[in-house]
Amino acid sequence: MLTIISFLFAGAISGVIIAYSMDMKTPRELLQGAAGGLIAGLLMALMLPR
Amino acid sequence: MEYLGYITLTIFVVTMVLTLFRKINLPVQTVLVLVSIVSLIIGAVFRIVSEGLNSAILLPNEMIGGIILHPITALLGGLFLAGALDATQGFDALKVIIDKLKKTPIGLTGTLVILINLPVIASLPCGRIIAAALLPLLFAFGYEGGMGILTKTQLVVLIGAFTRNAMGSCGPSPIGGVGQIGEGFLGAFFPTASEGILRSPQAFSLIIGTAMTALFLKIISEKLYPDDVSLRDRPENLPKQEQTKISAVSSPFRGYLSLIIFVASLLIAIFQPFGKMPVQTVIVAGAILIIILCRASIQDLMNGIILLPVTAMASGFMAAGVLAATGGFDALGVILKSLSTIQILGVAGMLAIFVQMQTILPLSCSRILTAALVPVLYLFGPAKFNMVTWPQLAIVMAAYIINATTSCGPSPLGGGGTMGEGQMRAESGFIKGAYTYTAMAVMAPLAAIYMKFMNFTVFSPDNPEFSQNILTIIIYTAVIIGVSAGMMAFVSRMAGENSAYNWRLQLIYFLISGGIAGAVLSLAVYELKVLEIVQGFVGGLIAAFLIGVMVPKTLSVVRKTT
Repeated sequence: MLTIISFLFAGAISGVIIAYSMDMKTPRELLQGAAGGLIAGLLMALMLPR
Repeated sequence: MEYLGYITLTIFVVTMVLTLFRKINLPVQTVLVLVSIVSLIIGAVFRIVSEGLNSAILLPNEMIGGIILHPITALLGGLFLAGALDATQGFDALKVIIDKLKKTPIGLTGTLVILINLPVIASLPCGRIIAAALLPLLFAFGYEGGMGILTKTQLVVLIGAFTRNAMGSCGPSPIGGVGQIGEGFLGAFFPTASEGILRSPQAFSLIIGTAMTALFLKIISEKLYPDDVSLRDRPENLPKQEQTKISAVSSPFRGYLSLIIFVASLLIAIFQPFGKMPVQTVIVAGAILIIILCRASIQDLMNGIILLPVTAMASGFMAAGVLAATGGFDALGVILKSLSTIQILGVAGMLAIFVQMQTILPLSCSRILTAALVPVLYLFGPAKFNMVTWPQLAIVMAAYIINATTSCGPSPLGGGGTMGEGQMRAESGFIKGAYTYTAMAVMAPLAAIYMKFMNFTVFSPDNPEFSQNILTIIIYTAVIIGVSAGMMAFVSRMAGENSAYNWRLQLIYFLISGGIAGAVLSLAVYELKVLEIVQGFVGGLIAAFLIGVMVPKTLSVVRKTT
């Protein structure tokens, strides 16, 4: 479970940074970036050994 | 005999450096095979003189014995399956899914974030496969590609970050990934290490490292090389209807079916729900299913095999085998051990340099040096030199492997990053600063921290010395991101028109960040020991200097001066 939480955290932060880097800086876009990062982080975590 | 080790080691190091600086204009695999043959001949002469003919005859066998077949066959199987996915339009099915994702609440931004991280999620054994399939799709988001959704700057960041993620995704891949080379060695202490002890640290640091690469490209690379990307933005006065409409993305049924079989094969290979079996068996079974159900031919599957990573791994193992047989690794171990006796470096400083070795010497495929250097790292542990314990070795291995596996990205010798540079119409070397910085200062320390505070308990649950600490991971990650981004913003603000000044500024940024990365690595390995942290900082500083000076000052020198 902690593995999944750590990847969700990393994914969300990563999503926000990527959105910001791509000049998508409105609160809505940053939230969408975080959501995309959460999905990416979750998918990665589910594929890893636990 | 010990002289022989120094001779073969010198031949290996000198030829690798000359190849990197393009003084030897041959493919690196060819150079490695030649180095192996020359070393073998010298070794045979030495053995005939010192031990007799029988000992010399055994030398080729010892070299061949150094070739580890498991990662090579897993890589071949992975490429075989990916070829099947490509041939049956599985990547088209993926594009349709991405197109539909854009219309969901996560919108374009969330979809692009998932797209950028797709290579690590897909876990293919070579990032070039997914990069070749999806880079044209990313290009289509720009004005020249047809959709015109993204500006030039956004497209540069998108392509650069995606390629970064792809050229590191071969590390945590369970089907012939680079990390498997290291996992085999850690199996001596962690019995289940081969199930993927290095995968989580790599994936964790890659997801953060990819984002930091995006930020670096946006606020530093674009400022340092403002005229070196020839992509065009949509002219402001162009009527919208004049934009080219991109044809709707579609995929036949067999594309979806092959994608489902591919994902199922990947899941079965990872989670082994039908009992233990080699990943190669699962992959071949998946490929056969695709041949039967999706009407792919053996020829299609063979087309998917990219020779570069396979030959890179085989030639790397050959060179490693001959170095092992002629005492080259022992010589390297002795040299590095003596380096660690220098007070200011110590073992901690030497390790801080060692983990950055492949970013210092970036070759076209990370497998070449990984196959040659992981055995040396293994010797630092209880197996020979006893400089670090098994858990400490695992921490250093995690940092080393992520640094190694991402090194094909910034390689000037046909590295994977050149695919991204080509797609964004950038001069060669545009991505080098961003890629090397994040591998050195973000990913290596994060992988070490993740291994220490999260991963040990997964592979050694009964050991009371290990525990998971999510809060520590979050704090370390936030600090590393905060410090890197803060300094990045400072460098961006200070950068001006003078390219030499900008380059020096960037070098100082590299030095400070490299020092911090070395200190964090030492903190993970030795905990709160001031001397080791200082030594780690010094080691990191030296490594950062060697990495930073290789970042080009300007890219299109000829074009600018004419």
